[in-house]
Amino acid sequence: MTRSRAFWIGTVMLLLVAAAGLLADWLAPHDPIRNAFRARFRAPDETYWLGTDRFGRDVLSRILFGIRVSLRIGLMVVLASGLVGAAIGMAAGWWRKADPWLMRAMDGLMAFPGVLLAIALAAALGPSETNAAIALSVAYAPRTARVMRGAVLVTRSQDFVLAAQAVGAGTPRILFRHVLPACLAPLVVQQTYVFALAVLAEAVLSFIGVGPPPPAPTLGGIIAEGRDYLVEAPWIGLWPGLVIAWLVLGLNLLGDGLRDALDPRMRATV
Amino acid sequence: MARLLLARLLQAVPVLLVVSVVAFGITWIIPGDMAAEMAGPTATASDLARLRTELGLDRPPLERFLAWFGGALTGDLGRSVLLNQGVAAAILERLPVTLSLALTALVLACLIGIPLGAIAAAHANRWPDQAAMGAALVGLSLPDFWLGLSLIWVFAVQFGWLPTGGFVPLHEDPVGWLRCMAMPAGALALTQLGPIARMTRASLLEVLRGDFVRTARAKGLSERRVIGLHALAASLVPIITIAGIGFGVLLGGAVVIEQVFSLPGVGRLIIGAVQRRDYPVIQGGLLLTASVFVLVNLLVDVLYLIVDPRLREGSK
Amino acid sequence: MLSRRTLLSASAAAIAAPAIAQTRGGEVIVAQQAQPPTLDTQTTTAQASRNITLHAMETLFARDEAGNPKPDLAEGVDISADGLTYTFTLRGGVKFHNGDAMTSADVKASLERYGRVGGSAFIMRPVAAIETPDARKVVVKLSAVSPGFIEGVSSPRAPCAIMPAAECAKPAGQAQLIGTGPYRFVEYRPDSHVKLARFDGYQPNAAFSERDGFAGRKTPLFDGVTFRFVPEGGARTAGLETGEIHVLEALAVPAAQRLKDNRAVRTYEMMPWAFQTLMMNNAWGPTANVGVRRAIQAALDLEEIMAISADGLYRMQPAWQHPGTQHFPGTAGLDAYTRQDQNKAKALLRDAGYRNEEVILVTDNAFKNHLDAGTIAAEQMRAVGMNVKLEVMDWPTVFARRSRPDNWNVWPLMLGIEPYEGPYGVVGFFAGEKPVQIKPDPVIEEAQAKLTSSLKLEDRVAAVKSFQDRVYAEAIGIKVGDVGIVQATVARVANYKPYRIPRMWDCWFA
Repeated sequence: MTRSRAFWIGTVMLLLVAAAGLLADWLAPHDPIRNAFRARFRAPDETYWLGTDRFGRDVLSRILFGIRVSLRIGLMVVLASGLVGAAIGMAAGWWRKADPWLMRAMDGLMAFPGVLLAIALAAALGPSETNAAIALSVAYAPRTARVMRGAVLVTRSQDFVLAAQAVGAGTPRILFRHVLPACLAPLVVQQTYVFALAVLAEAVLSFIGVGPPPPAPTLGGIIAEGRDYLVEAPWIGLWPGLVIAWLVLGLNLLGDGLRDALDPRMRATV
Repeated sequence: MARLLLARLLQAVPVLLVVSVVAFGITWIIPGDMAAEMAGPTATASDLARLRTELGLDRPPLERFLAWFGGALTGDLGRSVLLNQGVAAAILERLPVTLSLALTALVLACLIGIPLGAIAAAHANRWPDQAAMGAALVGLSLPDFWLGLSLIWVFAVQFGWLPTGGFVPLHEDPVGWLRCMAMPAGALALTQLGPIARMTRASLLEVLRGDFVRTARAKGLSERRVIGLHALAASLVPIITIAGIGFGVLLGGAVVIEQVFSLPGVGRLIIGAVQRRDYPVIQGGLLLTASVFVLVNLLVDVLYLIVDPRLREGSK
Repeated sequence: MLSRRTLLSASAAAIAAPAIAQTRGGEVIVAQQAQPPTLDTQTTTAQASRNITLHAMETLFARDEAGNPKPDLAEGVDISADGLTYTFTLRGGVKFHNGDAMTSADVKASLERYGRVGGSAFIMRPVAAIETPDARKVVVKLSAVSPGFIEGVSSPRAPCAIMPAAECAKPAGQAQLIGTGPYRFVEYRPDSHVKLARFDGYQPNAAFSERDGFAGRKTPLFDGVTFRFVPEGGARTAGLETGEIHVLEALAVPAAQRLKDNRAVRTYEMMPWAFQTLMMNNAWGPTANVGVRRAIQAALDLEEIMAISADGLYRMQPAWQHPGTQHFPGTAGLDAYTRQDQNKAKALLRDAGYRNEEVILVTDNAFKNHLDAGTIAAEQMRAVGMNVKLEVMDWPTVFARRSRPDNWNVWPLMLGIEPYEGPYGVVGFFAGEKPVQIKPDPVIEEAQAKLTSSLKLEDRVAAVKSFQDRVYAEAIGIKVGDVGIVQATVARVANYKPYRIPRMWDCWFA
């Protein structure tokens, strides 16, 4: 796939989902939470385009609001894990004495399957949107830290950094004025992938019941609610899964496109 | 080579230390009283006191951690009050299921992913490449638990070809085992073959630019042989790395997949423990899963040394 | 039922040969959602355990099809005129799965163990002494009259199972599944299954002609029974359709409707199975005010809650006992409380001085009925202008949370086994040291005292009635409705009859 094509397809896919989520208030044909027991388990028709669930709630409306929750949690994770991960990665890449300690700690965190660590953390913290975001950030920050460290290690020996050091610039100044901007590209690429991972993992948390609690619509939660009616009402679980896949695919394509455009080292090989 | 191995082993020690602090530390972040949460409402004050002693909650956190860590070193992960069983025993009992699921999925992912990557590399930037990489990316983007449910719907409900779930040990009934494993391992493999296919393609492309491939081509070997044998062998190291990392991801994915397919593995044990707030099991499960991952990566490093003679000389 | 006279093995019912040809053999597979927390029968109230253990374990008395106690391991009981001495005569020839004969020593040890570790250990509290004059006689002496004693020892809630004396020394949760029941334990693979095999030394109760609830003449015909734990509802249904699973403990109602015409599957409705209730905290926050509680009562559309939470299989029935049972108090005068009236609710809120204080509704996500009932009730309360905070947590957390006096106002709870047991558990919920509504209610305490000390049935019914009227008037608990369930088998399981557990005796593969 050519670089720019992946980037553009990904961007368009992401924008479409994001718009659907952001405009949920206007787009959703029904209230996503209000139940109507006379309309339970309606198969898709002209009133309920994607059918209704066991509360008689409109599946389409719930998906639209669910997208919003996924995006919100995903963004929180991108920011939190980006900030913490970048800070740790920069510290490890710059202060060589701290490096082994920090990176062993990151290795330790990364030894857990991300989803499993997030499940355990979210369960211990209690189910809520913020706690899900915290749990996922802890699970994915080490990956960001590792990427950042690698980028800092490359950058620190480059001429412009050495020159800044030579003229006696202070460490904070060097780090934030010279090193950080040079490392932004891999950071952005990495966080795009973290976004994708977070959306997938959030769906797992909600599916298992340690994500944002009902009746809040979440994509994973809708699938969980639909699984008991796999045969009788397959429409409940089908669409949220496809929406997750669409969103994650868009993010992955965007990440690939960004990586090829921003990271010349990767372009040389891939 | 022995020195290298030893160094690698020593590196794993602090990692495992961090792993155990994190696994144990889960209980430090619980808001509220862990014993009250576990004992339930019908518990009397003396029940609660007994449980607190059994969990060691009457001791300071550091002392508790040291006791737990010391136990873990000797293979004692404490007792599950709710399962009424040793945590280590409960996990070991279920580990074969999880390992066989993750391994089967890994083998499947390699069997599909490596050829997919090879095809892509052989036709770089032409339509087979784009199709293969597109497929890998789509697989990577699917939620595995949703895929599992969809597979149940198609293969168990619509066609009735495969059981909806459950587990039969391999040594008792190989065919039954295969039927039980087909969908869960398939769902996991499909979502995990992406990285393997992508890494295969990338590292093959790099190798294909190398000298010895040119030599092989010059010798008049067919393109298929060049890629199929020589180049693929040379690009094994990164593929093994990504497979090793993928194994960890598979272990994580197995957690939900076991739930969906009613497989009696470690994942289901941990999810059950999460739902029952059985903290000793959560701690032990986390510790063991992470340790398995560290161990697998150690093995991967050993494999490197075998596969790549350049590393064996000790240039690091 | 519990007269002062002899309660001998009733069933004058003629001992007739079963009308249908029975077939022995086959391994039947029963699927249930959860795995048992333990197989130590006496200690657990979990349905997941009971389904299994009551195939292996038996009790002195057991509940019949209608829920009344009938002799099971006992031939009968003599109750002294003062109601303080119970003399049980044991059935002869009964063997444990380990081959030993059951004697009065085993029964004594079992009852004593139950008093220490039993899931409803309080039933042994009035017991002063247990004597064993001979191998087939057990004399239980009470220190106070306890009309619910036989109900207690016959209840399947946490069964007072009779086990070998040697097992009785073991602490809670450790006793092996060794009993006198029609099937014996083979293996337990956690997260997978429990396997039982037919106990060929089983001594059926000759006083009956066929099964009768948990009592009666039990005839095990399957070679083995495997209980599989299948957490996914969809997978359980699909398993039944494909024939991998032969018997389902509970089938989702929409699936049952779909399968009604499927000739490979048979569905069995059970109504009533349970109560759906909403409990209210009378000690903390807005619901400490009876006006607010009454407003909630008026705000609710009970039928909507039932239709969704029970998946369409429900019955609107306001009494706090099942109709047709001995202690049924009737439904007179309850209409006023069960009708939805949003204007009345708003007026009540105004009069109570409600100023938008937060009402906390706690519910769990482990039981669909709880979650749904909580979700819908919260929405209906919001519709009359209440500020409801719905908190969904996992079951252990909710359970712990609501046992504290504060930080919760409304709690949805489904009562399954308690109403089946009779009035003692239901009334007991609201009385005693830790009443569910938190602050003890004098009228209910009095009703409870009368219920547990009156030897005359009509006095006990009156007590239940006064309890029920008080619960409604004070709005400390809302009976939403009766919940039904559907049990299901594949068509070739013949002569199945639904009950509190899927009984694998007296049925067979056709």
